[in-house]
Amino acid sequence: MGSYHRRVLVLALDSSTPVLTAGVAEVTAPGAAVTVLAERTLTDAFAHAEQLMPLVQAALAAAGRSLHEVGTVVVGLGPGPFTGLRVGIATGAALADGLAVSAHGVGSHDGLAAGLPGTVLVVTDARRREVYVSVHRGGATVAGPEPVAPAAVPDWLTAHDVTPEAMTGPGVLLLDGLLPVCAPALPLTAGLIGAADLAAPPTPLSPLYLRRPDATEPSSVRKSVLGR
Amino acid sequence: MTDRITLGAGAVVLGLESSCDETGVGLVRLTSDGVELLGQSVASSQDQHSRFGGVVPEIASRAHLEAMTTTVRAAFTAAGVRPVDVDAIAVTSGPGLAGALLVGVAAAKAYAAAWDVPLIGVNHLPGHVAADTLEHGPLPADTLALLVSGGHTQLLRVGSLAGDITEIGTTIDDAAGEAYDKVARLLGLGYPGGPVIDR
Ligand SMILES: [Zn+2]
Repeated sequence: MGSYHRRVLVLALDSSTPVLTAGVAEVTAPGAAVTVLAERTLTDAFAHAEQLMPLVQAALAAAGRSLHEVGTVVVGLGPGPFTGLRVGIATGAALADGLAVSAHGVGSHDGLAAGLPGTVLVVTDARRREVYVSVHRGGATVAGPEPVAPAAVPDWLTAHDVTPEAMTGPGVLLLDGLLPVCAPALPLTAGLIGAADLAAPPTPLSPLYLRRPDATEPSSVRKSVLGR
Repeated sequence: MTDRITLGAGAVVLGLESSCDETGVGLVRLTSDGVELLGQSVASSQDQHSRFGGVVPEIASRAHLEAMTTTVRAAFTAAGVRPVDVDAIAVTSGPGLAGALLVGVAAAKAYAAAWDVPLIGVNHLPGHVAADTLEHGPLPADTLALLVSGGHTQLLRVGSLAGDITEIGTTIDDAAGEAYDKVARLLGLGYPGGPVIDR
């Protein structure tokens, strides 16, 4: 996109975890410091569709800004439970399209890891008795994200030849003391925006599903539907 | 969502539907006695479901998200109007596949906020009946409608499309469309069953 000659208001959204997040920030130039004006979160795994737009409006109101001042939308692409994840991405895509501004997708784990020192394991709930794990160092993803059973995470780390010193993210309790827990270094709004490449041309907002849809092809043996 | 919205003749409404395997976006202009279709666009994920013998909700939901904004833009192009011309958005809020509906509802809420227009949640069953008015004009007073589709088979008494609709009777097991699909599967004719059996 074009160069930033002035401060751009960025709206950030994430619906990949039970912590639904909407925030507004100012960015002076791509890659420059992110000034978070307001962030609103709501922890409820099953209210993403009802709560996200009110959360966006609340964050904008707290920042004293209006939706029409938003110059760019940044959306967490997951991974996360599919239905909730899609709410944030559909909202971000339609807001950007409706406002005729660019939309940028970013891995939600990159946002959670942003600004933390050392090598960090990010953990979020993948449901079905698995967690999404990824390892980050200095702003780069060095392993994952991938759905892994909690008991298999130590072997997963070994297989990827990574030795994180700490873990972070809304799913850390599911790993039950595997590593020391650290709080995020930044509000997620700053983490997501900082991890996004705002200077790059926008690409389609494709969710990080990391699992195939549940569906089985019918067997070739024809079952009678008349019997029941 | 607004409780009561009054739109006069000439108002442009964008309709968005994602209850099953089609992402549908239409733009209509209200007239003194009905609606005029300005243009529409439909994206379908039907081909992705055929090898499973029926609509797979997760596949449909993924396809809706992928198609949503491009389908909206295509509808504007087909209709020859612009987003600033839109006076309200109507979206299917049910019945349908929950995950699929949510994609359309989330997008509709966002468009409504971006364009500062009211959002109207719509039960899409009267929508099936209302589609007939595009071709045949307003319904006669106290219409008895037989609604037959992939997911529904029912008799409706329609006093007014805007809400006065009573279900008089409905299938107790499968809708007509499902029956077609099951017969086609039984005979090894593939999915969807309707077009093949009709031939
Ligand atoms: Zn229907």
